[in-house]
Amino acid sequence: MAAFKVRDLHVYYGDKEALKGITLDIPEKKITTIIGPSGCGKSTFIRCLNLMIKEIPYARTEGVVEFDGDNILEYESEEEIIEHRRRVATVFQHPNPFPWMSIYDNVAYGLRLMGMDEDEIEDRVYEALEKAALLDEVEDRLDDPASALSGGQQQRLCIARALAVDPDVLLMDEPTSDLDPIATRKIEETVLELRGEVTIVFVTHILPQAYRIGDYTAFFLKGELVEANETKELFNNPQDERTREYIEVEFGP
Amino acid sequence: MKELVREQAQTTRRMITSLTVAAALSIAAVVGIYFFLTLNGVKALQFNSLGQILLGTSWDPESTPPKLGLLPMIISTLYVTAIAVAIAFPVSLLCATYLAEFAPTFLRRTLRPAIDMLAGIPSVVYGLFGILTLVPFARYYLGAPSGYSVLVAGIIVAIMILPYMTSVMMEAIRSVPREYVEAALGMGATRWQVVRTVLWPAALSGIAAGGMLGTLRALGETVAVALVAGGALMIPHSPLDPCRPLSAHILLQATVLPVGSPGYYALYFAGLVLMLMVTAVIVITYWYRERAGKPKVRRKVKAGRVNPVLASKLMTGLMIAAGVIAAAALVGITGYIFVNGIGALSWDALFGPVSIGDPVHSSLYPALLGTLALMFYSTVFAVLVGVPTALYLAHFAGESRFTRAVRFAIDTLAGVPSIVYGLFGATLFVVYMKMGYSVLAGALTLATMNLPVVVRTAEEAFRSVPREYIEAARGVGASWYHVVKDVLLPMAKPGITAGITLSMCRAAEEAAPIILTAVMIGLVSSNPFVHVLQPTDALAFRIYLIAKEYLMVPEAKQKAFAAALVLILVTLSLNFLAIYMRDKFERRVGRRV
Repeated sequence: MAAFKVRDLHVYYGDKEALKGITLDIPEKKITTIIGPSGCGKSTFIRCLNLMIKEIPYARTEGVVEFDGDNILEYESEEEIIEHRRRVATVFQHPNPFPWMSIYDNVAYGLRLMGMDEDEIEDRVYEALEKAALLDEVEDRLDDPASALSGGQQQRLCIARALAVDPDVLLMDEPTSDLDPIATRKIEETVLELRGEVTIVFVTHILPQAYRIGDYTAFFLKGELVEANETKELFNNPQDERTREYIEVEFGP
Repeated sequence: MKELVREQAQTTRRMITSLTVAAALSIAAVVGIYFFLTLNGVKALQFNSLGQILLGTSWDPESTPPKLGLLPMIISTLYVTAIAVAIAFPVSLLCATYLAEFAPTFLRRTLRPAIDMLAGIPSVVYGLFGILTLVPFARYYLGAPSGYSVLVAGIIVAIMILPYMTSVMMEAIRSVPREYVEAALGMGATRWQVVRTVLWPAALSGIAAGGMLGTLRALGETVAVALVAGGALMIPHSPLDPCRPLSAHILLQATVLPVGSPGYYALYFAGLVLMLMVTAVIVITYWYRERAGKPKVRRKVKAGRVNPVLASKLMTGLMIAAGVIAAAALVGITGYIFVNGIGALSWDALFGPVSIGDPVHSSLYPALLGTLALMFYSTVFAVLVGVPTALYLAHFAGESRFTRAVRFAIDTLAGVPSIVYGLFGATLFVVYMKMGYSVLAGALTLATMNLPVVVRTAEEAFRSVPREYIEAARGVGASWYHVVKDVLLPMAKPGITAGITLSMCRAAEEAAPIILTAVMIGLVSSNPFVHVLQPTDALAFRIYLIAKEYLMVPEAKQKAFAAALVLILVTLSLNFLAIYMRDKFERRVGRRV
């Protein structure tokens, strides 16, 4: 089953065409990694999946992004957009927990937006922290400000914040690029734990990372989808010359 | 070679000494203000007890024993300020939020400078507008006995402080990092939930600062309030009653009471009370910002009972409405003055005959000349002290106790109401230094008032000169003297110019301090640029005088409108110049405009 069915997706920023006709299925409850050099359209693609593209006034989209039977690009009303975002959570490149809130309140944020009652919220907060592999480290200081955490912990806090709302999809846009190797490894472990529970789209420019955690991998270049396949297959037996070249250069001989 | 190096090192030492002396002067100014207020203020206690002054309800300084009760004025000040802030704070916050987050870029680009421009409309012009429109409106339609009332004063002050609050709050909201907004949107927050749960909490400190700035201005606002509040010496029981806030009381009585009389000392006491209120607002705001900076334990974000999407639409509508109301009020006032002013402006009104002692029929050029002279001399003094102080603070001050004292002094000076500067100048320059009512005394008073404006803008300008240029000069062996002369001053010039024009603008628009130090009822036809020890006429003063005492005279309104238009043209063009310079400066140091 595909969580997202993307068909001939074009995105324009003013005159510039950022995505040039992407067609791709994102399989349900698997980890799909998206690779490609900077400026290839990875982030723009993610912005289409969570409709953050609609926050950019000069961006224009064409094509179909099908999710749960709807072409979400046709969503115009605020109701439809926010409802979609509550099912498709995002973890951004730079850890961005709210520094004026406590650790607990950060995780509870999305649940409170939904108007859930506080008893239920408490259970969900602990559950989300557990899933994000952060609970052991913060259990005795949930009321501390989020800014007191290390960079890696902050990013796992963001993962917990995203997971708390029990999303169908978790989008991760280069979530480890600001982190050191140990913190990176922890995030990867967390993501692998979630395999089979939630659909994950993981953007990265680090190829070994894409190889380690991916079930499926898509390679973007200059706004085009060059190749998409099962991860092992794509890395070991690339069909397209451009993919082979990119993998060779990045992985080294 | 050695000789030259020694000479340059010596010049640098001399320069730093002079900068330090200049910086010390601002401390002297603060000490002086408190000293003279207290010195004269406590003398009132010879005639009445503290309780009689603070809680007494009658003011009759000429009776025996004198009655110096200030309670009606204290309550009036609090009442007017409360109404003004209650109106202006929510409108400003919604306006600022809309402009910072929702408005299309072109609208923001136009409105940001427009708001800053409107901050340059003189308070006496707001007073004139109030007296000719809102006062009759309140009389005929709201049932206020005379029309002059707490309510009208509150509304006028609210309109006055709107641009200040909006401008500060907008900057604060704009500087909230995008990533927090994206995080909230990504969680499915509505636009309004983003505002409520991210933008406002993250910008809380700046929003509080904007609120404080507006409240301080409301507390100290003098001329407009003196014109529209009615001046009644009673405790206002309803918003439709006339009243007399402390600042207006000082203004109305200072020119009437003889120096050294019991009432004269009581005015300084009133000044002290006003300063106490100002200090209280500053302390409370600092305390609040300190406390709000720390995350609270389990702060609840309530989802609200209303459908969030509906709430979002409602609030966006409300924000647009706030913007429209604010714009309508400000455009209305400016338009009113322009339309009436253009009708009233004529060659004769500007350059016709001067008749001494007749503010209505005498032409405006002595007033314009006086205003220009006050602007010129006050700015010269403010720059002579302010720019070196700024340079000292930006590049030569360590973290010493002296530096902290200078900073605190500048912050304090920025919060002192203009009428208190008037009292200070009236004591130090007019009486003690025997300048009498004169251009010089007025200019020195205005210069003290404008010191914080100049220091802050200039310091900002010096600080934003990129370090690499300074290092480049130091790297080739330039002395600090040459760094200042060849790098800092040229690079910071547009920023400093912006500060200078703002200071000139304030010197032109403030009537309260010069009424106590520089102008006389009756017009003097001597050239104020030359005869600096003579009193002078001034535009803001002329408008105040006509609006206060001469509106019954035919043609009086015409002359007031003409004077208001000339004054607005002066201040708006200066403000425009300041904004242009600021933008130029921001581009030069490569900052986001």
